[in-house]
Amino acid sequence: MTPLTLPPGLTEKDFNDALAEFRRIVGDQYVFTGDALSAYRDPYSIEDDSKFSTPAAVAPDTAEQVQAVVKVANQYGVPLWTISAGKNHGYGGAAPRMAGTVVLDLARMNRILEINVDSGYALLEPGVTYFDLYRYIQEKGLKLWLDVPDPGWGSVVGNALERGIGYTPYGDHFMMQCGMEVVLANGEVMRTGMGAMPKSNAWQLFKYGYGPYADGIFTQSNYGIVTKMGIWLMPEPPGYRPYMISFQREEDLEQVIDVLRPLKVNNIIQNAATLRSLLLVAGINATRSQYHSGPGPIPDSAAKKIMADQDIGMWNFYGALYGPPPLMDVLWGITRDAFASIPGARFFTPEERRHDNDVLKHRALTMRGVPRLTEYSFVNWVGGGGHIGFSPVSPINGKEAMQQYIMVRDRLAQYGFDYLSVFAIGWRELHHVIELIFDRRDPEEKRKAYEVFGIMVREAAEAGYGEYRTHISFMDQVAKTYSWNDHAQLKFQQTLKDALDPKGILSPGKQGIWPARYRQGG
Amino acid sequence: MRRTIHALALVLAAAWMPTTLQAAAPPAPPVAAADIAAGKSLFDRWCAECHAPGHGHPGTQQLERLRGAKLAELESRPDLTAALIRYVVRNGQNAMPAYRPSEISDAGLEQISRYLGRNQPPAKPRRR
Repeated sequence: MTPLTLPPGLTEKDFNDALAEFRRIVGDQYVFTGDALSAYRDPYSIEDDSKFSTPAAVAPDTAEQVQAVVKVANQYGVPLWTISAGKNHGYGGAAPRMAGTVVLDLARMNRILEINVDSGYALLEPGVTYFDLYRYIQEKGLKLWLDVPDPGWGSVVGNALERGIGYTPYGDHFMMQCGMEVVLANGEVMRTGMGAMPKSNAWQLFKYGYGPYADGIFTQSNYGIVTKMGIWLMPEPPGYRPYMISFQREEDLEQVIDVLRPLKVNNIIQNAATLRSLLLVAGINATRSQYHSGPGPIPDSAAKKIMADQDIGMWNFYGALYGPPPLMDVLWGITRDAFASIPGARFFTPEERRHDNDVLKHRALTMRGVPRLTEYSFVNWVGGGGHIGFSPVSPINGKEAMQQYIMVRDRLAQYGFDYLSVFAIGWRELHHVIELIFDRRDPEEKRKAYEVFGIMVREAAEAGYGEYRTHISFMDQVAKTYSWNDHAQLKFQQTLKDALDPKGILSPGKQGIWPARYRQGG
Repeated sequence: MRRTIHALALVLAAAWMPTTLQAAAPPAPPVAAADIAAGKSLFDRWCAECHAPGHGHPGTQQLERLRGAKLAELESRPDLTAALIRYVVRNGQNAMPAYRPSEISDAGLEQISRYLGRNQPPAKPRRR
């Protein structure tokens, strides 16, 4: 067991008094302590668990209970780390950034409050998972699609708040968010956008309302607790055609990305499509030991064997067409002709894939919003299941993609790790999401993962590449890479923090934003 | 202590159970049909995406690698005790993350355990 760490500055008596108040608000059975906290650890932590330990978790059922908990936290100075489904895996899971922080667990707040088929949106509480929402829509027979990340066990609200991504045309989740209800640090509850007008019926229809647009400051932040959120859902299109294009050579990456840019910027490729590396695809159905038992990265001979066995390329593009058949025909013609300029490019539909468990058959589900856990198999690539996401952003530019690829591939190889990645293609940029896979049972692997991750953050920043999201172990380091004009942005974020949360109770250290009371120690 | 946890975390994949869990496991009580149905329903909600039979389920896939096809599918395994299920669900194991009591309550976990434990052979009386 990790030793109990109390919130900084609190006596045991104050802490126990606060817990008694929390129990009064949510009920005895929804305040968790002791052994019941085992599931609040980050399962894939690469540092000592004690650095991110929690002394208690509180699970309210309503926004009113959240307000009451926040008021008590203010009174006693108890820091709260908010989670929704708690599945932010690879980035810290349910664990708080600062030891001694009580987890405010919103999993019980899992109501689907409204679904509007005509306008295509849902109003949700934060505990609603992709699986929950998908099952509800299927049970009701509604003609709406979700947009899901890999895997689908997470919170729809939480993922949008972390600015996560999916694979349909609605793949930028925060872009599809519309309207929030937020409990502020003083316990007051606020609605954003049109929700601020008492009689408005456009809360989930018009994002901006009147005056400064507030929703953005509640994403990847610690300024409030989102208790309701609107999310736009895609009307089921009249046609859908998923496809895969494989590319055989490592160096094809540059040309593939350059071909992609105009297709994406002009919306010829409609969805949030992805280009996946050989081993990320291979890892869904195979393990490293099937191909290579020695230390160091997978050799070329093994890579060639994997490509032959699974009929995949060094790079594999997964996209889809949506809409009436004539529209899909036109878009496919342009897309196919553009990629056919790359020597060795091969085009596939799901029906043309020879293995029952082929990855395109799986992606054909996720690109139409069916939540699955299939993708999680790649975390077993080396055994032990550890993974952490390193995700620098760049323009959609072939030379820069190659530069990032070589930089990361070689640095990982130096530490004995394989390169598994996905380039997620946004409208104007690439999220280069690298999955650093390690054996979480092996302390030396964890130490190496920690060391190389820190180096990669630094080297990427020196080359101008910033992470779009990161693990709790690296939130401070990444925040400091956004340093233009003497860290003006971080200073602004701290100013907001101090104004909105003067006692510093909400998620201290989230994304490197520390309240004044912990700033020196942060 | 950490070493102990890691050792325990291997139990589902190991060919035997540690003495501590064996000792803690009571003989499987008779299970009512309603309990089975409730456990099945919870299994479908929380576990099946990873542990259902067939392709695309990472837990089934990994257990097949580690234990072989006969022990890959949790719902047909004859060797799952309540203590083991409780431990793995609350602590996770390898790639599997833990599940919190705010998601699967202790009572719900008990029902899942009864459902998955229903294939256990009845306990034999101990010889003195």
